[in-house]
Amino acid sequence: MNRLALFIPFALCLALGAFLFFSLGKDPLDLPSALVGEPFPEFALEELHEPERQVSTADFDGQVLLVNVWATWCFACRIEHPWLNSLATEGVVIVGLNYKDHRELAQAWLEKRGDPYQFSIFDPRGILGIDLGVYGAPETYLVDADGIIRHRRVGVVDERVWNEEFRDLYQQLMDEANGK
Amino acid sequence: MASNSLSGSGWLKQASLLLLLLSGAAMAVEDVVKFSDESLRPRYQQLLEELRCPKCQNQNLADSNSAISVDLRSEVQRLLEQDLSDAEIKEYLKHRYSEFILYRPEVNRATWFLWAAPVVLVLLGGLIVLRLSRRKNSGDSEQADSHVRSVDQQQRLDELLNSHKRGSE
Amino acid sequence: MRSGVLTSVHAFANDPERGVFILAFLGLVVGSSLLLFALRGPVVQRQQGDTEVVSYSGLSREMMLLLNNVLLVSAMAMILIGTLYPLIADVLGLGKISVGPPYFNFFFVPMTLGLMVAMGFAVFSRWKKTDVQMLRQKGMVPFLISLSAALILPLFLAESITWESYSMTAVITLGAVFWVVTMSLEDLWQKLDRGSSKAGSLVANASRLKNITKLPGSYWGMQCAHIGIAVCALGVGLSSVYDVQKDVRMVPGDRVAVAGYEFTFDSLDFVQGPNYGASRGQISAYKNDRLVAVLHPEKRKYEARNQVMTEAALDAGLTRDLYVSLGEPLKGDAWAIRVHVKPFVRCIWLGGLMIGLGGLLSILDKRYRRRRQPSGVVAGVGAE
Repeated sequence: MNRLALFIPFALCLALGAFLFFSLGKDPLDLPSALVGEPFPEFALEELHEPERQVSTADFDGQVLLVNVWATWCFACRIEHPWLNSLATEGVVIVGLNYKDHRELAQAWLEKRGDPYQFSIFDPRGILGIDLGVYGAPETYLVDADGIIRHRRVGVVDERVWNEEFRDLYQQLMDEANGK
Repeated sequence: MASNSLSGSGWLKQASLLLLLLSGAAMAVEDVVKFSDESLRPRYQQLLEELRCPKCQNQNLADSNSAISVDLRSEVQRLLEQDLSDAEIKEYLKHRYSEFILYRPEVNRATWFLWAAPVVLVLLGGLIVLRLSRRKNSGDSEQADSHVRSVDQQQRLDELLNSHKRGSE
Repeated sequence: MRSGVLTSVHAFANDPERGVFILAFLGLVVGSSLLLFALRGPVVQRQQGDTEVVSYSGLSREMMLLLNNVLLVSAMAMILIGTLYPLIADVLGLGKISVGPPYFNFFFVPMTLGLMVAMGFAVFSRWKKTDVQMLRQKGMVPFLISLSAALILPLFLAESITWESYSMTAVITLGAVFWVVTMSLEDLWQKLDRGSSKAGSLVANASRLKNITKLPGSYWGMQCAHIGIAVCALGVGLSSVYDVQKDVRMVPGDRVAVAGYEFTFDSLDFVQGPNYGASRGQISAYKNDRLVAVLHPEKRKYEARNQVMTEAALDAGLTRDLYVSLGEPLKGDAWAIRVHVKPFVRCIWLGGLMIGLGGLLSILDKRYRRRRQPSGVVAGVGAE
């Protein structure tokens, strides 16, 4: 056997080690959204506070906005909520998606913690959730003025995450929308 | 295992009692997941085993108890009732949850190596075996035969030595 | 490695720091071993005696062993590639791909079947050269037995004899299993017969028994391992085909029939454990009206974090496992109960044990533990 060929297993071991090293710290369950670049899915659901009012993508009204998936049973949502409140006071439009929850509990939750949402979609059976590819809460989607999903975050959106993942893109989308 | 005593009327009584009980059971107990057409059920089971829970470490939809799995199982059931094919159902879920949800990876540019490598390995190995078995050196068969003889001789020698050793113990 | 590298049920580290340490340790051990192999490989080759090329016929024992290695290594490589691929694809930016049982089974099943077919022939192969006619003659009866068993047995294994319940997978599994077993037994019979002059007489039987002690440990190792593979394959194949599961709504007193067994939901109680409270069901399993097992599945709620865990109840047997678990409580007194009958699944473990035992028997063979002798002799006492 060729003398050099004996080094192949060693070389493969090094290559594998390199791959493993570079993937340390990557979250295996951090799924990229399959819908980035796709239109926000159509829906027809009740609004959380006003059951008689039906909401749909038309209510996005050509705005650049965040859609935030939240629920009262979600502990992490309580952690990110203050940041969402402050984003809302700065003028960021946020639409809530109340996911697999109870209406009265959800309303009380917002009363207690503040309501940063322009409106909240009430999705008790999670059907919009499935269309979005939601698999837990909290999740946050950035939607542009044309109703296209541009980014998704699975997990808490706090100040650091906002600065790293959302802020620049949000600013760019706002500029594009205002430029029109 | 039960030993059936096939003695005349006793057996008949047992059988009819069993039939009675079973028919009662068939009426009283219903499946948790109901299908309008029972032929959908094996497809349902099969799909649940091929789809991955998006939230769990490493479970398919059949085994997982997480909330999203429960929801997705209902969704698969709903789509089956709507007459979608297996491929369409997988496409529907892949559109929403990305290819991550498919335990059987698709065959595309990103996965060609994955699907080709085992085939190539076996073919390569088979080729090596064939090449080695066909290679003939000149005047070799005699040498091979004498080698075989010496192997047999050695084995017989071993046996003799062993039995001698045992005899002297 | 839950450090974020592989999603595996074998996770034992929960952060990247521990992951780096483990990776470094593994890299050091594996890397240095392979480096040693690369540096010292040629030296070992030289020590093994003549490196001249000798020809082996296609069906020689050497080629069979080589084929065995090719198939096993390919199977292992396939499993390694399939396990690591999601990781590599992710690092290379090719997306988050999942590789699961459908992929592994797709390749592993034909590889193992090929291995088993070759195994049957390999038992009769001779060093250097095997007579094809001899193989054909030896293989005829086993082939016919295997074919008959493969075609006929599936008729009796299903609950009812219908066109749909006749499983090709069962046919192929049984065929391969019977092939390996019959060929192995035939070779054993032949080896035991050696040295006996009058076949069929009492003298012949006595000498057959004596020959048992003459067969080396490595031979028994081979037989045990080969049959172990057959037993294991039987378990895998049959349990995958005849596995039956039902999720049904039951109230205490209800009965359900699954795969020839009858399960009655006797009662549901509440029990208190050391750190949990549990709903505990009692389910009795009957076959042909005779009580076979009493099962106690539980739904536990651990007080610490209000965590709900399902404890399934299992009755194990060689020909089948019975498995019952509580699903969700439904309206009224009802529960969603999962009843699962898995035929032949224990054979998988039994087969594995036999394979391990076979390996042990081979290792213990005195011939391998003899001190090293001049090269020509060593080559003759090669692996069976």
